Parts: sequence; structure tokens; C-alpha cells
Amino acid sequence: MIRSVFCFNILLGSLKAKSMSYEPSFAAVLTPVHLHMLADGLKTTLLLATLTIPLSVAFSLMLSVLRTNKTKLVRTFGHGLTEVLRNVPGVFWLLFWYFVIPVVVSEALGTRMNTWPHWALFSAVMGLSFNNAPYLSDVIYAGFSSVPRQAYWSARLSGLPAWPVWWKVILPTALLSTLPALNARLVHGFKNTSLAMLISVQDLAWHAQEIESLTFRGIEITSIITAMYVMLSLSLSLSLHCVDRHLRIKRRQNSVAAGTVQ
Amino acid sequence: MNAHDVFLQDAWLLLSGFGQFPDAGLALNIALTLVAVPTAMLFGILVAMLRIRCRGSVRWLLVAYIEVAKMVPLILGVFWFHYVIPIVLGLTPPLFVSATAALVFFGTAGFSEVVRGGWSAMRREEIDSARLAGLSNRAIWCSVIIPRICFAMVPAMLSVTVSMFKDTAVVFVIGLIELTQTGTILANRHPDKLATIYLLIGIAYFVVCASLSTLARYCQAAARRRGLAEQLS
Repeated sequence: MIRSVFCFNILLGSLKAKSMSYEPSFAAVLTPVHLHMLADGLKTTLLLATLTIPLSVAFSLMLSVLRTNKTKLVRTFGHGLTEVLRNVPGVFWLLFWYFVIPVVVSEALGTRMNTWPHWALFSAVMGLSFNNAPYLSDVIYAGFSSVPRQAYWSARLSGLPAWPVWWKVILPTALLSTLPALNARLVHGFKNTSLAMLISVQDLAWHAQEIESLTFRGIEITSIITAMYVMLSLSLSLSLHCVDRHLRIKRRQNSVAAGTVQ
Repeated sequence: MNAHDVFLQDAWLLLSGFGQFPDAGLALNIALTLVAVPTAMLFGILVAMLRIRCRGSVRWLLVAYIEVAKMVPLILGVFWFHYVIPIVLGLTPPLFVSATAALVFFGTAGFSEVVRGGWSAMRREEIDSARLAGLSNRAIWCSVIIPRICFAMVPAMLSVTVSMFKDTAVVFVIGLIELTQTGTILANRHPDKLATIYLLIGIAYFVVCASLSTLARYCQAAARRRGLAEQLS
């Protein structure tokens, strides 16, 4: 026992001796200039997230509508599109929008895209939405199948046309029942916004690299940025959770008022 | 040799890369997956078992690790391991090692969630009835628990494998030249063929991932058939 403790101490000592050569210093990283850069990065990351989340949900709704269409051909197309989007990495979709789209469209339009200052941000938003849409669509597709057929037909029989039924009955029910699962995917989508640094969108992750190249303090800055991402993900997850709770309570109150639930 | 032949010759580089082993196009993505997936699977099973068995601080630590791994962006994980490993070990490992470490860190969390899901699919009564039938502990593990959990887990494990393969596309941030990076270099060499090169990259990713997903779906169907057969008999 004593011997093993002794050995452990030696091991620890040797590890310490090696790691003593590096003294982490957060003060060197958190200078006013760098804090300013971090604030800029935070702004861009939040902008990316606020644009990407609604757009990816919209894309996934489109995919789910295609996948639940009456016509077999449209359904097959929807499933195929989902497979293609899902089986290629997010990095590819970012590069696809950033590099390939300006080349395949007409030359005049391509030049305008490449000279547009926000083209990188735009292609990041599109690429990230392409990346997350199939996963969200899987969740929403499952939600659609969980809506009972009777709900659709009773709404139709009470005189509503097909489109309002979809908008007012099916969509809210499907989204509400899948919100916890959507929550996890949206948090995943949020953390993937860091991929935008690969096409030089100046978000938090990009600024982390910039500060690393200025100070050579990679661990400190990466740890700070990682903590920021974790806190942002947590707050996104918590706020979606609160929305979910609020909607559930409201729905229950409505049903109680309508007398369908005791 | 005209420009077209040069391009065709270069297109093969997408598969094999330019230089020595670590910089190897699609081969590097596959090599990273082949090393990282079994390692992460092993750690994942270990983490899940510890999480099921242990109470108190160990359990909280593991839960915290899994939640953090879900919230940390992959790209930052890759950088973090790239910076931390040399300081902890006191020597600079090859880039391949730091990339693998990051992939294993995230993959372990994924696999452990899969194993935990498989474990909760196992019903308590099945183990109890096996014990009442007089099976030894070892027999219960070998012929009841493991086959049951494994069948439930294979499709989910394959989907974690697919996502780890897709994650290998990010490792070029620390300077490894994998498929995407090879493509970017080739696109600089042949600017007129840019769209073709990216199309080839997309096809390469799609072929690997789609075949793994198809295998997962096949396993799922097989598991369902097997489950049904068990219920009927």
C-alpha cells in the first residue's frame, strides 16, 4: 500500500515537472482589445444562430411535407433529398454554398455573390441549415405521424379547408409533441455554427484562432470560448424547455376550459 | 499530356492524398474512423456501465462529461486536444493522434448514450425470470443480456459511426490533409474544374455514409424481425 502510494507520488511528480514548464495565464488573453474581439465574435455567433435556427426549421418542415405527400413520386423525392443532405458532412455544405454556387450560376451573378461582403455569412447560414434540416425533419416527420387521423378529419368535418387544418391543427400538435426532441437537435445545430469559421465568418471560434495567433495562448482562449459555447447552449436549451412547459400548461388550461379534460 | 489527363490523374489524389500516410485524402478519413470508432466504443461501454453501476459523485461526473460533450463544438474540441496533449505529455504527438483523441472524446459520449439506451430497453423481469430459471450470473450475461442489448444497439451504434465519419471532415483545422482539404487544394490547382471536384467529394462522402446507413436500416429490420419472432414463440 505504502509502496504504491510512493510510486503514485513519483508518477505525479514527474507529470508535474513536465507540466510546470507551461504556466497558464488568463490575464494575457483577457486584455481589453481581446475582450472587444470576443464581443464582436459573440455578436456574429448570435446572429448566425438567430438566422440558422428558423431557416433550418423551415427547411425541415418543407422536407417533412414532401415526405408525407400523397403522391409517391414526391415522397420518394423527399426521402432521397433527406438522405443526400444527411449523408454529407456539414463542412461540405458550407464549402458548397461558399465556393460552388458562385461558379455554377451565371458569371454576372457569381461575381456579384463573390463581391457581396455578406456572402460568407449567407452561405454559412444556408450550409448550416442544410446540415441540420434532415435531422430536424426526422423529428418533425415522426411528430406528423403521431397526430391522430381523427384530429384531421374532425377539423375537416367541422368545415375548415385542408390548408388551415394543416396550419392550425396538425402543425401545432406535431411541433408541441416533438419539442423536447427538437430541443436537442437545435442545440446541436447551435454548436455547429462554429463550423462557419472555416469559410472565414468572424464568429467566436474564428476569433479564438485569431487571439491564439496573437498571444500563442491556445489552451486559455480555447477554454474560454468553449465555456462560452457551453453557456450559450445551456441557455438555448433551458429557454426552449421553458417554452415547452409554458405551451403544455397553456394547452392543458385550454382543454380544461373546453371541458375535454377534467 | 493535356490538361484533361492531368486533371484525371489529380482526381485520384482525392482518394489517396498527396504525401505520406497521415495526409491521405479519403483514406485518412477512413483510417481515423477505423481507429477512433473501436476506441470510442470501448470507452463508451465502460462509461455507460460505470454510470449504471455507480451512484454519487462518479455518476455526476460522468453525466457532466456527457452533457458537456454534447454542448462543446467539435472544432473547439479538436483545437483543445491539439493544444493540451503536448503540455500534459510533455511531447508533441503526430497530428493524427490529437485528431483521434478529439474524435474519441466526442464519440465516447455518443456510444455511452447508445449503450445506456440499450440497457433501459432491457426489462428487469427478463433478468429476474432468467435467474429464477436457475441460470448462473455468467449465463444470464452471455445468453440473455448481451444478445438482447446488442441487437437493440447495433443500428444506433452504426449511426454514431456515421456521425463520427462525418466529423472527420473537420480535422483539417489542425493541418491534416483529408478529403475536403485535398479537394480545396485541387480546386486551387484546377480553378475551371471546381464544381466537378466538389461534386466528387460529395459523392465520396455520400457513398461511405449511405452504405453505413443502409446497413443500419437492414440491422434494424433484422432486429425487429427477431424481436417479433421471440414474442411469437
